[in-house]
Amino acid sequence: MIFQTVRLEDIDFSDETFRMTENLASDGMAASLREVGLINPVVLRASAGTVATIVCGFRRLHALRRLGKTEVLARIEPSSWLPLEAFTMALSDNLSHRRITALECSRALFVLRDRCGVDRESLISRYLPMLGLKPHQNVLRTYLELGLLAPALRDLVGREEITVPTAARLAVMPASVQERFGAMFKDVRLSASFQRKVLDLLEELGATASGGVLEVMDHPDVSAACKDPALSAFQRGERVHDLLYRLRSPRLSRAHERFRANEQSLGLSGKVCIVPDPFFETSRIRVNFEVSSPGELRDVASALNRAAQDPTADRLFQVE
Amino acid sequence: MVPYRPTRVLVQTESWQDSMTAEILGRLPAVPVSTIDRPEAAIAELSSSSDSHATGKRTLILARNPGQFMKSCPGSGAEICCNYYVINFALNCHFDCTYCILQSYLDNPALVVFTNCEALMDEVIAQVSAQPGRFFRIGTGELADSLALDDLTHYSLRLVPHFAGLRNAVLELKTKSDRIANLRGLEHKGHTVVSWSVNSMAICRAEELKAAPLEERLAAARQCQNWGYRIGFHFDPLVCYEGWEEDYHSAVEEIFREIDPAGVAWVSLGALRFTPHLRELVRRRFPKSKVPYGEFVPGHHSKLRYFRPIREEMYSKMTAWIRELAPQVFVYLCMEDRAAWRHGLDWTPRDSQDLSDRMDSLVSISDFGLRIADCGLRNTD
Repeated sequence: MIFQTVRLEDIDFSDETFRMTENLASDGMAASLREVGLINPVVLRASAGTVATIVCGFRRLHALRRLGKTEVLARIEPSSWLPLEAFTMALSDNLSHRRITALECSRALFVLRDRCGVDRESLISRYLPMLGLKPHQNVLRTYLELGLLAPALRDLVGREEITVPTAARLAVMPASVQERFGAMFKDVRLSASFQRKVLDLLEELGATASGGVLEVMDHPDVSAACKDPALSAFQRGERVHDLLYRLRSPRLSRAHERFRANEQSLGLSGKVCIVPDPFFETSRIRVNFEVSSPGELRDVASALNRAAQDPTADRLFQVE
Repeated sequence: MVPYRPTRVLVQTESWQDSMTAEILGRLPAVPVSTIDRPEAAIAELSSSSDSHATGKRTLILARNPGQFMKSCPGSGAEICCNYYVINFALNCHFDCTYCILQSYLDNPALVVFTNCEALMDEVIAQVSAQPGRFFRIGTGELADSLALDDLTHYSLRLVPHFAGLRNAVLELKTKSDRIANLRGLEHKGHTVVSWSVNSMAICRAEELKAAPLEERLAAARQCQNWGYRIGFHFDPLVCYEGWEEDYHSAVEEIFREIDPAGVAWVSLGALRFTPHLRELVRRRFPKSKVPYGEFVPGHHSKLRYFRPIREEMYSKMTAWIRELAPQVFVYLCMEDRAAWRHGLDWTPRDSQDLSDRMDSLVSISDFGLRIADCGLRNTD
């Protein structure tokens, strides 16, 4: 192990064998280097000729280059340094001083598996806990799938606008679908549970559409909802979900709408709510009301009695 | 149909004592055979394979059934049930129908044939004889296809003559195959009904990948009818897809072009249903299959079923098409509740016993008791 000043031009910036940092362009890092200079030397592995491979310090080196620096103090390890030893140092370096993002966990697992030859069992039992993740094969699969994510969606994960499970599901879809999602999320926001529901619906509708998921996303109503200027991004998301649900379950949706219309036409006060069997498997209905005095109780009972005589009440028990 | 040809046979040690074992192995001359102590260990090994559902069936296990062969049909928990019994002479099926419940129901990917068939018959005789005042309809098509392997096992040669001697029982062989050769010339005395699970041509082609095509099933049914067997048909699962009406109407027409309705014991209807686990399994194993994408809702026991009006529409249209061509044929629903019967069919049994009695009367032989005498033979009342 030696420390020496190395010219930046002697470092191979294109070799990202040991990279786990997602965002290399860090303004904070550049500001710190400008203010106080380099605190810790970067770690390089010697390579053939004069070019060295970066092991630790990707962000620092990129920031130095942006600042116009030409040299850096580096710890140089020999070219015989084993990839796993080198990356273990990079991993420890990153884990010791900052929070690792989901995409960085994914990058780390790819390096360990593909560059360092770590087997699946060790990835699960040793490295997932080291990255703060549960040691389970499904977790490993999810994080490895993240590595396939298109650039537009990587930014969304970085900003935590889509969850890791959502990103992992999108990552295994064709690039064209991922790009379309990236475009949709510029206008639409979805909570975690709505992300799951919307993806379920899109996958199921796409499975029977000749044009797959893209055809569903390009449905005129869905496209219009994504751009509706009268709605907030979250409201657009809910609207997209509702439209997809109606496409997936058209007859059930219509049955609910008819039930609601019939209930409203009975003219009951807001204190009374009539609820059907959620899937109309039975003709049972539930009548809920809340009162706080004997007078209110009598009023509600009279209103219900009147409603029960209305022929519309019969339609509450008919599905179609 | 695609014939079954295992790549290896595993024989449980005790099964070597059963004559059926040597007979089956004699029909598989070039297939490697090994002896195993416990089928469970082999099954566990097969289950660990990444695509165990597909590869496991290439292994045929010949073993003894240490437990009970005859059980009440799992459908007996339904609101109206026909009180059917099942005999599990084998486990699993090589036809690989996309929607098949066995993928999710069995924890065994191999094909298992039980070789202690004498014990099976002893058990049936004991149970049936213990209740002489009761009529039993007993099927072998619950956890396996009744005839798909019959050219290997010759099970029908043992079962049919045995049932011919049971005055208060009838055997139903339920199949999607055309393997009927062994049924020729057997003295069944009306105590065996041969039934076909049928579907529209489109579903047969796309979802019942290795089973016999519809026309071959019907040709086999016609042959069995000529041999004097009563015939049954099970439209189960009915699948809702664009164009289902025309396709199923054609299937009904095809059936009654080939088969004399007078010799049909019954036709059952059952709309597609899935456990959530099975649905996911089908999506994973058969990505091109369209059956997991109907308008399903969770129902009884969390099973996914078509939204009720869809089921009822399918049942009522099917019934009408059957009635057009075979007005006297008995039509019933499988695994449905009273409301589905009321809206989907043109008759409703009072209860499970009523349905059971009516079905018994269709197949019971004249010397069987008086209890069912007043039930009428058809369900058109």
